[in-house]
Amino acid sequence: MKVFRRKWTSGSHLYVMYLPALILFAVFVFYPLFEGVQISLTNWNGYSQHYQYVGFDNFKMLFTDHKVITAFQNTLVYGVGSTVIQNIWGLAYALLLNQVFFGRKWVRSAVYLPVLISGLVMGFIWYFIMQYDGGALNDIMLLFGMERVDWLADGSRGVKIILFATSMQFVGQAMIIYLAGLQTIPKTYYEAAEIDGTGAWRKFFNITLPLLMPAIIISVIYKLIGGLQLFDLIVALTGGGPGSSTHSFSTLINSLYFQSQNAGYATALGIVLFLFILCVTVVTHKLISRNEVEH
Amino acid sequence: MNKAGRASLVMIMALLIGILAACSQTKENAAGSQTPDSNTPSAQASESAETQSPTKKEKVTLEFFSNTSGGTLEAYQRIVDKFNQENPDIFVELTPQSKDYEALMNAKMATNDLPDLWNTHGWSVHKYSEYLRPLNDQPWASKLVNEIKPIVTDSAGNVYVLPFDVDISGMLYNVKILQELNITVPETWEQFLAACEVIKNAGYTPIAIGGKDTGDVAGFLGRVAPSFLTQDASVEYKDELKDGSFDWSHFDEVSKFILQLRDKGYYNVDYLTADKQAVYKGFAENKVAFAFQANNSIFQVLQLNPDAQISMMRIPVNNGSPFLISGERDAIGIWKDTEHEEEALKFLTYMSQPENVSQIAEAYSIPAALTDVQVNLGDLEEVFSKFSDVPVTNNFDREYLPNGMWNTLKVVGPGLLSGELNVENASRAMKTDYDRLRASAQ
Amino acid sequence: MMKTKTRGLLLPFAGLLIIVFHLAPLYITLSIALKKMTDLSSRWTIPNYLYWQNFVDAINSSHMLRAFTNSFVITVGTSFLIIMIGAMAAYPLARVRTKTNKWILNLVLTVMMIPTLSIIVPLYKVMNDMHAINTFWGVILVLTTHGLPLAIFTYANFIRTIPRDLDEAATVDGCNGYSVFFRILLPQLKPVTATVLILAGLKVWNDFEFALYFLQKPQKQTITLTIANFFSEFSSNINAAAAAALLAVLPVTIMFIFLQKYFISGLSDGAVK
Repeated sequence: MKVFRRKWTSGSHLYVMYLPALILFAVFVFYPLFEGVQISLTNWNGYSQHYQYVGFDNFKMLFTDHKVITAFQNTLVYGVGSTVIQNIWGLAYALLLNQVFFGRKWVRSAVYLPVLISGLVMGFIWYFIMQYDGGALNDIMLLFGMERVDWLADGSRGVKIILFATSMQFVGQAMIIYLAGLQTIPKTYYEAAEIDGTGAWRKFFNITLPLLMPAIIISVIYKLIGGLQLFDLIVALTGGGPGSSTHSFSTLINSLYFQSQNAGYATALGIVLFLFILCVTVVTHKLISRNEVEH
Repeated sequence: MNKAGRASLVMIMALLIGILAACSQTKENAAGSQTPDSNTPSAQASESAETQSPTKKEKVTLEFFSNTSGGTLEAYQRIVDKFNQENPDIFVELTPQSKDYEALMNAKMATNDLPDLWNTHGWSVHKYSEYLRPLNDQPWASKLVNEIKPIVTDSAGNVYVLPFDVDISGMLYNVKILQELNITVPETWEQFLAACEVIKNAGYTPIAIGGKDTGDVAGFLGRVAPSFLTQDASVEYKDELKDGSFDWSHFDEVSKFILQLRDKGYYNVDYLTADKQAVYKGFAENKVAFAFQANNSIFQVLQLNPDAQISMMRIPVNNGSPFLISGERDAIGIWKDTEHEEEALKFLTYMSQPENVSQIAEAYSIPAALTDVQVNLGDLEEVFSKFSDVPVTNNFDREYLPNGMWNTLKVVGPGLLSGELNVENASRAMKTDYDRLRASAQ
Repeated sequence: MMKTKTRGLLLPFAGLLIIVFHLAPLYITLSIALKKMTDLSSRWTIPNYLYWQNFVDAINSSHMLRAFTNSFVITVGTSFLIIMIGAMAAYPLARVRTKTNKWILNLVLTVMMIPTLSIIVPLYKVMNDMHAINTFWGVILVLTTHGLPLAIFTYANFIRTIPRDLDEAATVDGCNGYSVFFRILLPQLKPVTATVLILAGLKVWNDFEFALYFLQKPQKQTITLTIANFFSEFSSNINAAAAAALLAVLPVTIMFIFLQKYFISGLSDGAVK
């Protein structure tokens, strides 16, 4: 009994506290992943009782499938692109709003408001804007005497539009994080720099950016997660089309599974995606632990 | 797995409650003398709470899955409500499923856990028959009209569904534009191309395609393909398509034709990105002449502009007579393993009453599938009667392709239009899925 | 002097432009939602009549209130579980630095990054085997699992900023590890809990992918699914669909307006501290 109590207070027993989380991960992430490896080696269609083992055929097919290659490129663009854009854009807004002027709270709210809206709804709204016939953007083109453009007809332009739409929606999140980050930087640093006659750019690179590092890391992680998982906005705006040119990994898996009833292949794609994200995570993790050392 | 899942849930709850309880007890008992054993009763309490189920109803509930929407769904709901009112001991629970109905039913078939009743969306014979109760013994079975009988009967002569209507469709055309330009409704593709040229030169859009909706493009392929592959008098691939020996390079003709229409600029500018709504709008604003869509689009157009004049035409053929596509549309089957067969049959018999059948057929404006039913088809009545003797074929994918190929059409069609697939690749993609799905169906 | 004067006007003007820019998509949706179906005028013009019938249609034809209730139940249930399980798990991970714990933190970080769709096929199978399809508990557990990593990560980061002296003092007073957590630490976690609640709650309220797969029964459908159905190929009434989209946004917007402070300070407190 006494031995037990000592263990209890020493803290090692606290493992029990993360057991619920681990059980959930086991049941809803790792067990399915394990099942997934098996499914990926079959030609299962998603519902039939009958299927055959096809070895690594699904994986071999992946690397020659132009749809997969496009989706891979797009996922990178959505993930990295939206991270870069939103962080720069959000920091710019934060720097602007860090100054005192009339109505800045309104600006903050307006920029943040779209964050609350589901990506699905945002996708449908963007279709109202980008549509050829009666689309809001084309109405502006007409107003200025220009030809209408079928904006989403070109896949690579479609990818850029999706990137812009998601960035514009979620830039408010980065902005808020940076605003808070800026407020933690003591004014005296800038005052000291002013006395030294340091220019605005030098101040930004020598004081603001380094001291914002924690905020930058958090924001980058949030944005990477959001960007790499981008799904609902694409479903609503282009459905992955034209053809399969705007698919992300997520939407491609969805269409392979639900539409083409090619569950084995979709699962193989999912596992490749999983491994890819694992690599990204390792890199991110390195980044974070380096920051911890600095602390 | 079921047990494992429940067990994990219970464990998580138990852990949560246990840890919370441990804390609150510590509060009461500052000395902290209790042992973790005291967690167990609360864990058990949560488990027993988990297993307690609500009191059982005596009423028989029939689960009825439907893929319908809009007016058809409303008609079903009206009839179901009335049935429930008249039969207090039975409750038919109509659950409409929208987009992913097929995937849902696939999953349900995989686990042999099906609803008591469901809509078979054209696949009563080719997909669902092994899960359905044969209904030849039912009073209405002898009243099926000739257009639907072969489509819902399998090779053994069994009928598995109560069909309500016959889905007859061809193409849509804008009566006003054709009249204005003095064009007669084309019957061959040559005439069709000539008409398109005139229409285009007059500043109208010859053909409207809603390419954002891949189903719309699949429907387009599904209408053009039989014209080239099965309905043309000079080529006969029906048997080859069915026995699996079809040479898919013949599909090149279909792809070439679709690309020819594109390259001549006959499609709407936004054929890749327009949604169906844009197609309806094109007709409503009198800008569009043709569309490869079913008749219900007419009513969507009329909602936008009540003065629009849209009608159905036969699908042209190079050699031979233009044709219409007929198929099973609204039909309900009964799960062969249902626990409430008697009640389900009672419900179907109720549904087969003429006034109920006509409500459902009218909702989509197509003729009824039972002989003694009068359907008010409005302006289309004349059109249907005019075409009562023309050749009719089942939907191309349902009749000639293995189940699942509709989805291939949804990939190949947009692939062709967007330039991702060339003619050869399109045929190859068709062949790959055709072989794969045929193999897995056997 | 001149410079400050122009600057005094320049910034509010820039601000105004930003506001217009970011609210334009919502403005367009509003203008569509207020128009009759037969009105095909530009989406930039608000009609000279206001057709509220679209909102009535949206509510009547799609069981919107039921969908709101479902979304609410799922959001509350999931948020509660995420906060409880997340905070609990973060505590030992942040405090007790062993190899196992480091390994588990890495695991959490990995799970956080995994796109949910990558394991959707086997997950669907597992859920189906568990009879968890079309159940709230099923979707709540899955959503909790996928929301947990971010919560654990956020909590763990925050707990590290709380001085250890506090726990140690409490331990000396005779509290065990659990009561240190529940009595000393948990009250300190309030600000970061606001962050977790907002992040997780928003994600769950707006969730589409899990609901799409696991809540197929109309009785169980959430608000995002209802919107998806509205816009799906079967519906051609975009005006009512736009109205439905606005209605879906309304609850979170109202919450945002009244709890703006928490939304903004919550997110930033948790992030930067």
